[in-house]
Amino acid sequence: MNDASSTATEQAGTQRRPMLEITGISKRFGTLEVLRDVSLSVGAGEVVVVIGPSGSGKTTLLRCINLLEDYEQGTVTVDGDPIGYQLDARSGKRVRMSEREIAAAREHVGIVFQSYNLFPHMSVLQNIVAAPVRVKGVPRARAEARGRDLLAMVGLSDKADEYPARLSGGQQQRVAIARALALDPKIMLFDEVTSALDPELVGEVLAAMQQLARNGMTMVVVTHEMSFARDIANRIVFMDGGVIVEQGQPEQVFFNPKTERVRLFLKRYNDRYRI
Amino acid sequence: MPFDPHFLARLFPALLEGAEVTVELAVLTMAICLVWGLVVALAQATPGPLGWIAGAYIQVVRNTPLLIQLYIVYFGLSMIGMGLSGFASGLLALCIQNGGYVAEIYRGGLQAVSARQYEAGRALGMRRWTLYSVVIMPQVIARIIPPMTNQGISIIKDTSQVAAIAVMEMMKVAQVWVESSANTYDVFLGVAIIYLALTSVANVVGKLAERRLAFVQ
Amino acid sequence: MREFAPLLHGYWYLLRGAEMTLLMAVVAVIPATLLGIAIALLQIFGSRFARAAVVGYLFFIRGIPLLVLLTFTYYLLPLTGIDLPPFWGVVLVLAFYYGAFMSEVFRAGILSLPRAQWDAARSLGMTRRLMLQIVIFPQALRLAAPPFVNLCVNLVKATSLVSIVGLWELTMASREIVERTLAPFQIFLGAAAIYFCICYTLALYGKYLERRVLHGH
Repeated sequence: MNDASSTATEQAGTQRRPMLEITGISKRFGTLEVLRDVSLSVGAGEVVVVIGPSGSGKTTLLRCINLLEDYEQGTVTVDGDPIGYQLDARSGKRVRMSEREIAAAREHVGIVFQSYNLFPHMSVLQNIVAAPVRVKGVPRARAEARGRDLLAMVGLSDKADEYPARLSGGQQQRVAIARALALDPKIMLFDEVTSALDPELVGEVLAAMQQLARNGMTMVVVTHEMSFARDIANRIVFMDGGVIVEQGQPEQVFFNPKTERVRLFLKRYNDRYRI
Repeated sequence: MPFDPHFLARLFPALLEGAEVTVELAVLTMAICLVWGLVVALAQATPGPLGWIAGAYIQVVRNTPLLIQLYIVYFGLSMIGMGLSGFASGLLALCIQNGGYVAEIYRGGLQAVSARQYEAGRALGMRRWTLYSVVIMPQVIARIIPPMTNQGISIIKDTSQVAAIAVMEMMKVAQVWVESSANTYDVFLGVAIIYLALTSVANVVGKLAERRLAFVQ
Repeated sequence: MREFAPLLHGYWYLLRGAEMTLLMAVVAVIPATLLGIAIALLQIFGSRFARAAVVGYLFFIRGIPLLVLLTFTYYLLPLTGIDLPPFWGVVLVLAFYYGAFMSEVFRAGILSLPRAQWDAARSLGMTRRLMLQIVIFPQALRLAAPPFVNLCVNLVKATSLVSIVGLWELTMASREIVERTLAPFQIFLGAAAIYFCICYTLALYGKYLERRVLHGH
C-alpha cells in the first residue's frame, strides 16, 4: 500500500461530499427478507467494496441503487438527487418517480454485470455509443471519439469494430466497463464482475478498475477477490443476512475484525484460498 | 400430347398472369402479417384480458383450416351484407391465418432474448421505445429470419387455396386450362415450375436477409 | 323452430364428415411417418446419389402447394391408367407431401443429439444398426415428438383440401349443407369448431410432450 492511498483512506466516508446515500432500504422476495433497513453513504471519489457470503444481499443492494430491483422501503440519492423514490415534502411518504425520471436518473449510475450483457448484435464501438447517442442525444461523431478514448483506456483500441462474440470474457468485461463510462456516470457499480471469468483473465479487468479508481471515480464494488478488495478499497463493507454487519478501513476489517461473523468468514476464505 | 410447344407458348402467358395475382396476394399477406403478427405477439405478452384474447386468437386460427376461414369470410360476410370481393376475402383470410403463425414466430424470437439484455438497456437509461428499437428488436429480427422465410414460402403455397373462391390466381388459371384442354401434363409442369420459381426466390430473399442481418452469436 | 331443425340435422351431418376427416388423417399419417423416417435416414447415411435424390424430392415438395399435387393427381391418375380409388389417391399424395416435412423433423431430432452419444455408442463396439436402435432412436424420437404432433395438426387441416377435388369429408359436408340451408356462418363455424376440437387436442398433447422434453422426463 502506498502512502497516498492510506492518507485517503483515513478521511474515508463522512469527510467527503456524499455522492451516494442509501437510506433504510428493505426488500423481500416473498417471505425472505434480503435487505433489512440498510443504510450506506459513499463519498465522492470513494471506493467502497462490499464483501460477504453468497446470499448476504450484497448484489441485491447494488441492483436496488439504480432500481433494477424494486424495494419496499427506503430511498436512494445520487449526488443529492433522488433515484427511484422521492420523499413527499408534506406527508413524508415515499412516491415512485415516473419511468422517464427513473431512466434519466440511471444515466448517472453506471453498472457492470457479472455476465457482461453486451449487446450481441452491435460492434464494440456501437455498444459504447448506443446509449450516449440514443439516450442523451450526443452527436454520433463526438460519442465515437469519446468511445475510442474509453477503449484506449481499457486497452482495447484495436477491437472497436469486433463483435462481442469474438472477444474473450475479459475483453468483453472491459468493453462493458467502457460502455458504462460512456454516459459519464457520477458513480460506478461493479457486480462480481470477475466471477464468470477464467482465472487468467481476471487481472486485466481488475487493472481497468484500478485505473478508474486512481482517476477518482466513485465506485461500489461487490467482489469475492479479497486481495483486490484490500488493494483498491477505501472502505470495506461486510454484509450478512441482509444487514451491514461491519465496515471500516481495509486493514482494520481484514486484520482486526470487530465481529465474530467477519472473523469466521475471513477464516473460511483464507482456508480455501491459502492467502 | 405432352410437351406440345404451341400449347406451352399459349399456356405460359396465361399462367404468368395468374402468377401475378399469386405474388400480389403473397406479398400483401406477408407485409400485413409482419405488422399484425408483431402486434398480436406484443399483445399476448401483456397480462390481463388483452393477452388472453391474443392467445385465444392464435390458437383458434392455427387449429382450423385456412379453407374454412376462407369460406367463412367469403360466404359468411356476404350473407350479412358485408360481402368482399374474392381477392379481398382471400387476402383477409390469408392474413387472419398467417397472422397467428407469424405472431408465434415473433413470440419465439422475443423469448430468446435474455432478460439481461433488457436489464443492460435499462441500466443505460433507455426507455421502452429506445430499448426495443435499439436493443431488443434487432436481435429478435436476426433470429427469426429463417422461420419467417419458411412462413413466406408457406404463404405463397397457401394462396393456391384462394382458387376455391374463384379468384383467378395461378391455381385457378391452371384448373381452367386443364378442364378446357387435354394437356394435363403440360399444365401441371408449367404450374409446378412457376411455383418452384416463386418459392425459390422467396428462399433466396430470406438467405440474403439472413446474411445481412445475422450477427455472430 | 322450423329454421333451426335443418341446422341441427346439418351439425349431425358434419360429425359424420369429421369421422371421414379423422379416418383419412389417420390412414395418411402412418405411411407419412414411415416415409419420413426412411428419408431422414437416407439423408444422413445414404450414398451421395440417394442424398441428392432426397434433396430433389424435398425441394419439389417444399416448393409446390399441396393443392396443386392433389388436383393434378386427380386429373393425372386416370391418364396413367392406374386404377386407384380417389380415397387412396389423396392418401398417397398426403403421405408423400407430409413425409417430406416429417423427414426434416426426424433428421433434426437425430442430428441434435450430442456427438458424445455417438462416440459413446461406438466406443462400446456397437454396430450402426444397434446404435440407432438402442441409443439414437429412443432419444431422437423423444426430441422429434413435439414438432411431429404439430405436423399432425397441419395434416388434419390439410385434409380439408381434398374437398376441392371432390372427396367427401368434413369440409365437403359443410359445403353441401350450406347449399341446402343457406346458413354459411352457422355451418362453417360449426365445421371450424369441430376442426378446432381435433387440432387443439393434438396441439395440447404436443405442448405436453414439449414440456416433457424440456424438463428431462
